[in-house]
Amino acid sequence: MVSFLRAGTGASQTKETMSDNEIVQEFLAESYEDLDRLDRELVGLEKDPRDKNALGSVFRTIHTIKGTCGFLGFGKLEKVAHIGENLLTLLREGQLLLNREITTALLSMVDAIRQMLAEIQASGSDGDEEYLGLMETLTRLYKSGAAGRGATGAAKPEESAKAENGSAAPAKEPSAPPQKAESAFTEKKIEKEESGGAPAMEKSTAGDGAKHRPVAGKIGGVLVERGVVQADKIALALEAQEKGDKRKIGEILVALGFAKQEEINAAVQVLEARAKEVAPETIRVGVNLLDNLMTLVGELVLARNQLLQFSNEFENAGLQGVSQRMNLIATELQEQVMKTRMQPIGNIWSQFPRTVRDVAVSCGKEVRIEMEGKETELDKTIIEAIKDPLTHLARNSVDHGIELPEERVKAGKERTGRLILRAFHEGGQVNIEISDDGAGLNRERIRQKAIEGGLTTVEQASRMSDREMYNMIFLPGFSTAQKVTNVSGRGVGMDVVKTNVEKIGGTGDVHSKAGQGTTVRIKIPLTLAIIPALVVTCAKERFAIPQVNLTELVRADSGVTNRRIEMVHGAPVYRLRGRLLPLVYLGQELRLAGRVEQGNDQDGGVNIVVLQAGERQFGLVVDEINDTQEIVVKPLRKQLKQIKTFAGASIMGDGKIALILDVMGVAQRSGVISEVRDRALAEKAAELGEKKLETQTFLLFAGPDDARMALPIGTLDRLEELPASQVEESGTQWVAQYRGRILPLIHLGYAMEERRSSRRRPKPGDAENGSGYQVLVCHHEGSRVGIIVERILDIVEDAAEVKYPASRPVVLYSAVISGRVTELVDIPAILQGAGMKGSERIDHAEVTN
Amino acid sequence: MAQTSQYCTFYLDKLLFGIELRGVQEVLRFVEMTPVPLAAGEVSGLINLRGQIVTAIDLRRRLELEERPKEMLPENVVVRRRPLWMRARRHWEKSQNRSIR
Repeated sequence: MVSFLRAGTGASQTKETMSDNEIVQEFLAESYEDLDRLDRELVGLEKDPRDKNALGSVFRTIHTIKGTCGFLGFGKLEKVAHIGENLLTLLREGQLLLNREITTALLSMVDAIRQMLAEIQASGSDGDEEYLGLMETLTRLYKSGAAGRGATGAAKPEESAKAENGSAAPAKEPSAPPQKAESAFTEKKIEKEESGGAPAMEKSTAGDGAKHRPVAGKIGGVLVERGVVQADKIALALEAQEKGDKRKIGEILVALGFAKQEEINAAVQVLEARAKEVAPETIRVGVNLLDNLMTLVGELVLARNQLLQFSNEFENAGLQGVSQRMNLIATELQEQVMKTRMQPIGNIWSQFPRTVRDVAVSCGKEVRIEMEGKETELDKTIIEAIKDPLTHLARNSVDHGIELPEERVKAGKERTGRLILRAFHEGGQVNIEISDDGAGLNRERIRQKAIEGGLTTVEQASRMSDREMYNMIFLPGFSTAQKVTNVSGRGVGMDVVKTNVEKIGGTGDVHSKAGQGTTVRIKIPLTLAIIPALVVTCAKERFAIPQVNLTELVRADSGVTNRRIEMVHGAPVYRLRGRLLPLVYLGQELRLAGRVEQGNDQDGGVNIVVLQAGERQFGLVVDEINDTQEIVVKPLRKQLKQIKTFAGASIMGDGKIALILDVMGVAQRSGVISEVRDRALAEKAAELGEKKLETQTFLLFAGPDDARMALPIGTLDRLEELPASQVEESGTQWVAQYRGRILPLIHLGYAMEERRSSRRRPKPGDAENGSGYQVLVCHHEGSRVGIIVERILDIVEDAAEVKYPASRPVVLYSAVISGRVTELVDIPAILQGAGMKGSERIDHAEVTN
Repeated sequence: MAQTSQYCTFYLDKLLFGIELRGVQEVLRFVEMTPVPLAAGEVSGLINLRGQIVTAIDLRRRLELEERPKEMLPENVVVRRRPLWMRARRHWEKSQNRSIR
């Protein structure tokens, strides 16, 4: 695992990292071109000083250079250009007329800029030369013009002298952003150097005019740093060396009596230790470069997919071999590149002690901060996205959670409160917890606040569990702070925390125990760059829906459709297992020109994607449901950002683009989660509840000999289609590798033949239907088993009231489901029949895998 | 004042237009576009430009010219790039809050 150490790539003075290089090169190329034109224009202007167009052009060029180099951090170049720009402003406005003197000054400014550009090209910085003379001249000329602007007439000699003295600082002009940019840039760099521990101390020793500057990476630098010798002495030694002295610097210094041997030895040791510090093989790489790499890998993956498709068509063993290898390499590469973007969460936690301390001091509290799992890694973009929410939570804990020291002592606690930050991986997600051992949440106060704020009713509140009640604090417009402190309670509440966490596909939850403390747990995905998504089609356009928002897929047949889709207060709802699910027609919502009967497929059925938007669920009606796949998320440009319905776009396997739906955005746009709708639905549901029948959901499938069979959906984990090649034989048992485990498989047809059948057990692979097996992944008593069936028919809801005793083994009973007699499969019986009594055997398989 | 610049010129509804060459990254012949529902009228869609997603603007609509006849494909797409200083600023902004440390 590559880790990012701040070992600077050599202690160079370059202000840019590698990724900046490209833009700097472009800046250089463009600026050189501009300067050549400036020469011509200035000379032309000297002949015709009133040429407004040329003046405007010159002004714009200098302005652009100034602005750009400000962003690139070339402060000196910016300063020179800035003063020149001031002067040009006067010229352009006609306050000053271009004369030979001014032209000369401007031309020498062009030369200076050119010189600095050359310096940038050579060394990466705009050089050491100060151009004081030039700046003075330019400022003086500017002042004379500016004075002319005022009523006083010509500038007095003293004034212009003063002006010259103050020339290093450009005249007071509204400070342009680039200037800010420059200073921020410098600060950032300094901070990096200080905290980075990189040996970048050259500047400290810049002797006046000293030809040799001791560099930190060398012995001389260390000696100067430690105050053993002065820089000029080292310069002397270096000169001696240059003149042919073959001895080492240290030896020369000792010989000249500037330093003692022990001091030299100590310095050598420091130097060696430093070399080791730098030794971990890391380099600093620009984020842009990584982003580009990521894009390219994404491209490669697409190309690979195309290649795989292609090679399948041509049944050529050689080609298939190569494309398989390519497949593996591309996958591996993708993983590795993803890893480069991973950063330990400790990077953001490192700022917490300071933040927490400040808050604690301002509230008069004592807080100790503890961290667990600092090294837990997350994608860079996620790290950035959760920084603010986490900071907010930590401040909240100190401000509201932890009590004052006296109160703590009274409560029998330690004076110092504890704030614990924990991070750990679990199930492909990262869990982050912020806990305190403070007073805990006050249920009564939350209840009051929630009722006051109209967030809930007295009646609802009385039915709420503690957890539900505590989670009310995440609702917008909620703040229990009794007084508005400058720490929290500034309108930026927990709802913002939750929104931010949800934006990156995470969830938030709060637990609390009165008197013992509060824990906020956040679960977030490992990465945002590549997400699993469901691809759907609507009006012939494809759209991707992030899997995190997906609850289930429902297909309602035409017959059922009419029965199940109703209108409540003019809005369509679907009756799903006794609940009313508000519906959104994607085609209508996006104003797509499609079929009139939107959402109905060929058979008149309706495809409903059940989605979770915050606390609420709704059904999205689409034309077709395609498949799930991993997609690379790309942001949309500014022009399209304001469309809240889309979270981004992604390039699909065929090179075309699909838009990614923002489920929250869709819900908000359609008004499906508005309060009014909620209330209407609640009323309707109450009405419905009275006549509700105890129904169950069944999965209907075709068993052996096309028998119509069913399983209660609750016992099912997933439906899978396993390719025949994935099914293997282990002893007498069929198994498949499934999600990193071994899944025992039972062929329903053979299980029903009661083992006395003389028919040869087939080998996996001689699958009857060639393509693969339909597998129902079930769970029973904590173990998993896959049941191979012929075909999956449907998912239906039925009370299954009419029952009839079973007529053959492994069938529990027969019942009328959806109007036809259906056999209900008995999973425990199947397991027993297959010689798997309960879970031991399966567990064993899981452990050994 | 002799000052020459190169321009990329093109016709829109019989009118001749030009963009300074410096602002042009490349010119594409007809490419497939993915429409963006709910977007402003002048957004004609998204283009996959070698793995980068580029927003395409219909210049006729932007300039409120007559709509392109249906049978006519929008043949040429000019990929505009932002001026250098804007890119530099973006770069700087990124470096402020996104540098890997």
